[in-house]
Amino acid sequence: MSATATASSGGEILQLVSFHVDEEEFGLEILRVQEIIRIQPLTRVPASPAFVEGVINLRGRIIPVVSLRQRFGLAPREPDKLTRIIVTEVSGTVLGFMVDAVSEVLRLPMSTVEPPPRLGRVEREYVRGVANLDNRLLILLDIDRLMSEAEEEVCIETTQA
Amino acid sequence: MNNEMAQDPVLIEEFLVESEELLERMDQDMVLLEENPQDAEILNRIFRALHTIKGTSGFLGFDPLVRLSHQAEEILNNLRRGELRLTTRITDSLLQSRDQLGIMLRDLRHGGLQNYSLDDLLAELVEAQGPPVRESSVPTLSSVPPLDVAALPSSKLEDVAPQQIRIVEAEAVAPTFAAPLPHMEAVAEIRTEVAKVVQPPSNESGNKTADSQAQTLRVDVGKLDELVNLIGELVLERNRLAQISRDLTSQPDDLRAIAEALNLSAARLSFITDELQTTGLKTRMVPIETVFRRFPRLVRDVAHGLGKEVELIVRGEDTELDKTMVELVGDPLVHLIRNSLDHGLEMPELRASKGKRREGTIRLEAQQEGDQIVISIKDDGAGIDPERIARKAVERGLVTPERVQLLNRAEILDFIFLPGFSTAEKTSNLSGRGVGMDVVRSNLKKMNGSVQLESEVGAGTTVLLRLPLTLAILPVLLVRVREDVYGIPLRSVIETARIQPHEVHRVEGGELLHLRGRTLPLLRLGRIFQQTETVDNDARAVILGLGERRVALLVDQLLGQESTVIKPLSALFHDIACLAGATISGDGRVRLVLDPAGILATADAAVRLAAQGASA
Repeated sequence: MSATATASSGGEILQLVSFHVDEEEFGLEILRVQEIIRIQPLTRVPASPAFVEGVINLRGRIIPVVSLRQRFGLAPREPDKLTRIIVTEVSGTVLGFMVDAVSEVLRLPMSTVEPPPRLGRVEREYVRGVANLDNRLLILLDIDRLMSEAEEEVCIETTQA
Repeated sequence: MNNEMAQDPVLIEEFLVESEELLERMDQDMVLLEENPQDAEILNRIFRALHTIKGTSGFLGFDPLVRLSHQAEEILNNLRRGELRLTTRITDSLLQSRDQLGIMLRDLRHGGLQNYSLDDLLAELVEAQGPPVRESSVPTLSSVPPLDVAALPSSKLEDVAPQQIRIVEAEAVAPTFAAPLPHMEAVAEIRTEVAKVVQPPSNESGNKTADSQAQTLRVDVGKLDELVNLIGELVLERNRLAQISRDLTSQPDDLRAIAEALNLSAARLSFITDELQTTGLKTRMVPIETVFRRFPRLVRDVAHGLGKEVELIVRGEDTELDKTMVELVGDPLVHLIRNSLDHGLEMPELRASKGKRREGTIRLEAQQEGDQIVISIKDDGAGIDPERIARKAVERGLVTPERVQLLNRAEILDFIFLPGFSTAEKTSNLSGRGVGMDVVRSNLKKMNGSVQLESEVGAGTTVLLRLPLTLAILPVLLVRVREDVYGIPLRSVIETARIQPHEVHRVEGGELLHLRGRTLPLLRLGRIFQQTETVDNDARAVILGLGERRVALLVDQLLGQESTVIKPLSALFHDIACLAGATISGDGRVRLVLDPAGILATADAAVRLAAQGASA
């Protein structure tokens, strides 16, 4: 909310939900977020892609939960009381992304976002850009790309099997 | 003047739904009429159908529809008056007109009428009748506004529901209009009024109209009344619960009485919700006739095309099943009936030479058996030769020559359902492209149903489709495999048994279970899901039955039985063949439901792989 003042000067404003996975901080457009829920008992789905943690009951709907840690190839970690599931819709499918913690809602002018530099682990094409906040770096995630690449990988896995 | 008049999408939708229903019915009736050309009732039904379409089309300004239905109606009129005899040419021309009307309705649904060259068809409708008996005295309808103007004071128009606007018979109106037309101005006025009252169809609502057909359903008012009553009881029960809650706060000392009241309320609530569920599902039930009635026409046309003589016997049309099922079962049935026509039934001469009736029979029958609907398609054709199937299966590499020797008849016939399997020596545009039976099976699987085939060489083939009454509710057996709980659809469970380690035998490519003198393939979920080994041998086995086949599934514990509402898994999991869906348990957790047919197919594939590996 502190960035409201820059709204008039910076042109188009991005509203983001920021969250943590491992050491990194990420941002996801707020319009893409349907809700943010606490971790709840997951049901494992056998023979499903590795990055799918399982399925949960979201008020009578059954939605898959994707672990961003797994998706980014990071070591798994036991969920704790900060762990959250960000519910979103990707190409017609409602799904949840499990993240280590959700921190805040941010408003940033589009001009502070730079194209993705060469990053360490989480580079690739599902980074839309990087926002430079006072003393931290926020990675803007392209979840559509993230999931379509994930599905391609699944296809490759299954054809190789 | 096609679309000059502003048209109410609701009105058009109603017209489309009604007309489509009439046309479907007409298909069936035309075939019936061909068999009983003197039947006045059928004749009248077809006439009324065309007449209704013509009338409403006229009102809505759909000119091509009016022209065609009018000309077709003429024939029916002449037939009714006995001035004309029904010939194959006339039947064909009427069926053609019906199809053309169908095309126009479809176009209307998807945007609007196109330009149609109807002249040939209209001419054929006249010529098919032979030399004209007399000049038609009925004026063409396009020149007569088909509105009973006198009955419609324009000031009241806004109060008139579309259904109440009566289309009057052209014959009755014609004399009125022979005289000067005092109401003509009024008609113009009404049209403008109508235009004002109704909204022009925007693109958006147009799209909605196109999609809404599948969403609408005619429901028996009795069923709805029952539903409303139950909802009333539910509201009463809610009030009682609220009272109990208040009592709990105001009289915390009176716990015993409150607990008793709560128990009672919970029991009533459970009764009401059960009833509500059953009744709610009943509103979704429609007679299977809506699917069956397209088949007389299909059989007639295909049989004519093939030069075969076929009698179609339809039974059990009034069997009810879920609306979704009715829609899903249509295509598989079309395919199966075409198969029977194409491959099953022999040519008349061949039949005669074998001492059969020249005319082949296809018997289409639906009936309810417990919580299932069984649809059978039975023909008295040539039947399927298992040896030919076995040969083909070996050729296609679906099975090794050694293994095929060990399979029984039912298992060999089962190859027909594998993708890419087709035994038709020459393919036709109807069937025999090898895309058929596997699609039938996968469609049935989508509905939690099964398909089974019996055939005797020379005597014919019977295909049995088994469908649950509804997609929504599924009784399952809950089992535990290590820490995971799964549901298994109860209808596939034959029995459960405690098994001892010495009853399990390892063989090449799998394991077998000896159970009371029978030998069954033994499956482990862990292996099917490619996980590490799970269950001890000292465990329970669930015996699954699918058609004639029996397999044993090893589990750790049987947890009991539950009626569940099955929900689809996310699209992310569509490749997982062994899961039918998921359900939500009492504690709110998601529970996976296994698909017995998928498990069997996966196990079969594993056996085939092992067999190929062994032979390579």
